[in-house]
Amino acid sequence: MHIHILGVCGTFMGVVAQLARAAGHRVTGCDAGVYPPMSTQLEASGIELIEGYDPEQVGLKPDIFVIGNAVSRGNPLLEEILDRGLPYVSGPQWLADHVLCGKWVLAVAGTHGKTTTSSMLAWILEDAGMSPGFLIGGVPVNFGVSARLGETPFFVIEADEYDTAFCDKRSKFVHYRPRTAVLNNLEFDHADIFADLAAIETQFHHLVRTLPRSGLVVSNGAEASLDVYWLAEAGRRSNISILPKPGGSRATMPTAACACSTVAKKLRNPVGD
Amino acid sequence: MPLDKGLDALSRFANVKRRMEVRGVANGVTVYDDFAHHPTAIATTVAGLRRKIGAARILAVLEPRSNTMKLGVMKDQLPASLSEADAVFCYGANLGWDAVVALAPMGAKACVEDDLGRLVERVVQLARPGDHVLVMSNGGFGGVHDKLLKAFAAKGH
Repeated sequence: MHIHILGVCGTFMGVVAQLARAAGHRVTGCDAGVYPPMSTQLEASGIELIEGYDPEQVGLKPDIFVIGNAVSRGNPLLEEILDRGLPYVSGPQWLADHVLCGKWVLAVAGTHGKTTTSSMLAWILEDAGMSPGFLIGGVPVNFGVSARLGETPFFVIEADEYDTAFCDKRSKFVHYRPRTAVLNNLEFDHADIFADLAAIETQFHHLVRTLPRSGLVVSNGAEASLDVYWLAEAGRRSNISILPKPGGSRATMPTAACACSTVAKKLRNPVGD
Repeated sequence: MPLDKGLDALSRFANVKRRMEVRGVANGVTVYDDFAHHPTAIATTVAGLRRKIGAARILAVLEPRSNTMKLGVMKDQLPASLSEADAVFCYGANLGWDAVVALAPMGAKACVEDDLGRLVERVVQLARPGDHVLVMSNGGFGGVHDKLLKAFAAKGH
């Protein structure tokens, strides 16, 4: 299919563009600031870029327009798409429908440590020969890239709680439908879009609601804000593993604590220099 | 996935760019780049470095530029999150709130500069060989890492 991405030079949309290209789709895109390094990277992967949001771009007649989160109402191209009733979708939704669908998605959510944890997870699977796909909001040094399609059903994704698009104010991760969900922690953040912690919690609740009964949620037992009814509820539907707090008795995975100390001993350079 | 296989993989995990990434060492001063911008992340980042380097000095250089930090809703948590640092240099330009007031509880340990060049000068004035300069921002921070490394190197000659 042909997709035209509005806001293609953003970190997330740029990666979506590259995954779409790698999956064999025709990808074009536009942005207000088409400049290196993102523009060079996108063009090198075979993505045609257009500077600006001229409404004439509807003439490209893509199968669908993919709207980046940086694009708001009033954007001339977006307004033209809406006026003409042309098909459009958010980046996370497109990704879910065309890349993640049918995969074993392992999603790492939480206020802190998502990038590092998802990088570790992708690396553990890679090292075991499972060649996972991944989409991470940073560059894991073991891979040198922030995303790839992978060669197996496994796909590790950094599950970002920031909102999706102008048309969808739910968190991006609500679209990802994980089979394995990791919840690192939960704290108030993103004061620009969330009123309070409860507002973020609702989004996390949405995320675990979609877990299949054969799925697994791994949560952090040391985090009081994750000691919540909706997680217990998810645990009655699906498998749940609550990692013990240090010295705590709430261990459903008793080996985890000793595992951590083993890794700590093995890592000569825990902060990576 | 057997546990020992996972552990073995983790022992060869090479970290993530911009997560406590060592950007260089010049004149005995190590410069780190970290993405931390939420007070909790800042606190764990400083604590992590403290655990690694023991009693050596940590000079924290901070740009509170995330959307949330710019709103100022978490500014009062900053002093506590930075308490394990020996000195704090905060870039205060375009904040919309007064970083001097927010960091006042830290006393002389913290200073605020609205000019990046001046901020670099002040770090260089204080830094000496053996120090660890921890730069924290979720943005480019005007290339402050390289500016600092260059200035430390120049100081050594």
